[in-house]
Amino acid sequence: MYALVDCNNFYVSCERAFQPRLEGLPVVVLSNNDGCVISRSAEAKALGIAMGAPMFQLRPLLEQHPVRVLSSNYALYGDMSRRVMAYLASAAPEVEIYSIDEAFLNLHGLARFFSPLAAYAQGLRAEVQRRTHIPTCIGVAPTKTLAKLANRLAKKYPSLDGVLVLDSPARIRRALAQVPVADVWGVGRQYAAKLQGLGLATAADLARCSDAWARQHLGGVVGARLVRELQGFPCHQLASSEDGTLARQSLAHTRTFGRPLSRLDDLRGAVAAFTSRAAEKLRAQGSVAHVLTVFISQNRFGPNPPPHTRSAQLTLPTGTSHTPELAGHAHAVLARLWQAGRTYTKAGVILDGFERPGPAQLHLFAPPAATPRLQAAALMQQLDRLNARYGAATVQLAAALPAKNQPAPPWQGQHQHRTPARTTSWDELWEIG
Amino acid sequence: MATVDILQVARHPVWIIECETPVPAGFPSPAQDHHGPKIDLNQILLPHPDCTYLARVNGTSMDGPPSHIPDGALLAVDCSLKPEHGHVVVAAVDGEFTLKRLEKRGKDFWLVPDNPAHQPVDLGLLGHFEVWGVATHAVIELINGKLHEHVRTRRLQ
Repeated sequence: MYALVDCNNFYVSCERAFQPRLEGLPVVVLSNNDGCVISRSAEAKALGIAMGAPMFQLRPLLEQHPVRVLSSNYALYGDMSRRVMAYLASAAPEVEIYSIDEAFLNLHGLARFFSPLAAYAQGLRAEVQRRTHIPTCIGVAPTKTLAKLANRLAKKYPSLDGVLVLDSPARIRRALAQVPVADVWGVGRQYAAKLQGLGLATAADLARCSDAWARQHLGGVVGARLVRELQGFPCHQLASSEDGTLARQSLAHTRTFGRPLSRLDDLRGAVAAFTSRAAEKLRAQGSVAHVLTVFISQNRFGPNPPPHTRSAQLTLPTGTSHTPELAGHAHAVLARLWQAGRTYTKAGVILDGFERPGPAQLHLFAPPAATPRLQAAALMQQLDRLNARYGAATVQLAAALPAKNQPAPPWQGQHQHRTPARTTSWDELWEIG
Repeated sequence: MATVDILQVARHPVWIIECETPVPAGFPSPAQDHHGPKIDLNQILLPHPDCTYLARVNGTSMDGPPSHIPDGALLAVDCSLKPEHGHVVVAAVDGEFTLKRLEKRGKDFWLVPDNPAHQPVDLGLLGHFEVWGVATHAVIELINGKLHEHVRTRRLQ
């Protein structure tokens, strides 16, 4: 059996954990740069505030109702997520951290010792709540796809008290009939429309399909696996590693600027800063990248015709995680993308083609590197150590600093309503009256 | 008569292994065999790091016997412990956090300040309250001033 533990309204719940006065009030958390709604309390949902709603559309509603609006505080959410996952890892035999607020657990063989499993799941919920003050819902089923579906129902029906266990064919059948096909894990928007067109309305209809039909109409073996999973035959194992995290195959650092930028110098600063962050993440997982992509975007609703986003990719001569080298390449790419007289609102740096760092595959025609490899690696190691000890961006590329007359980098996002990083910063430590 | 030894000259580089441990030239230290792991204060202050939260105390309501937690003290709050009579707890009362001693008087639980200048609260009369966590340790500074750049454990007078 698999379980999916999903935190309810995770970002709002993190804020509430340290602000009990938010309990029972409509609360929303905004995305980076205070753009749109990314987390809503149940009360905010009841007011009709949609997920992803842009802030400017909400203003009239916010004037009528006492909605608390908060900027996202990722330092807090990341720390609370780590605490939730650390507990789950200690309480279940195997854990896959699926996202910041969701984890799959492998409960194989546990039914013999914890019967019924619903009581075990309730125990997990109570413990997570006690340790982190974050409410969760848990779906338990023979496959990951069904566990996801059970979780959805546990969230939807408060009478289930946050836990739904699908441990018999009858229960699975009943659950499948209640979930629209569009809400099945792995069914995208296009397939949902196609399936509805074919007269398949619920997950139960999909589960009745034959293997051959699924292969033909649902993208080959992927669709066949999806149907098998709905029928209760596990096709997906947990993708876990020893520390519960996965080394990623690509990394991106993408941000909307605090205000629109048009000068090449400002964009160079932004791209250098974003490259530094991406390179830092790359080194943290011990990889080197071979492919670098840079993109810059103009306002989608601006006067200029599409395309609003221009991007370019570069295959690096040798794999690297060296910040100055990556930033140099990124600047070269940016120079090709940037056009005078345009204003840009967003930029991103994407690193791909990962490898473990090893003996370098030297380039036949490239001149030897300016800094010898070992020295460069040692430099980056010291850089990361300093920034880990004294705070992010204590030591950084000069190119990533704002121009002399600007106090703050103009690409940095705005967070007007951010709460303090109470659990991760001495300066912003939680205070109790 | 002088003897001449002819030595083989190494034509290949000779690698010398560098050791981290210095080779002692004098009397070996008698404590050498007794090196243990370093004492780590975290083991005592944070036995459950994943459910312990650090907080700074703001106010003097617990500045008195028996807990003597002054304004500005750094507090470890453990959420895995079951709150019991006599524990110093962080409670959420009327949407605000407060640090008080949990006491059972008769049937009801009370939140009792250790500073006699403050009044105890009968939890039986409150509509809604929650014990958020149990305070396990208070770190206070005995030299009034800045011992650490960030951790000011007692407010300046």
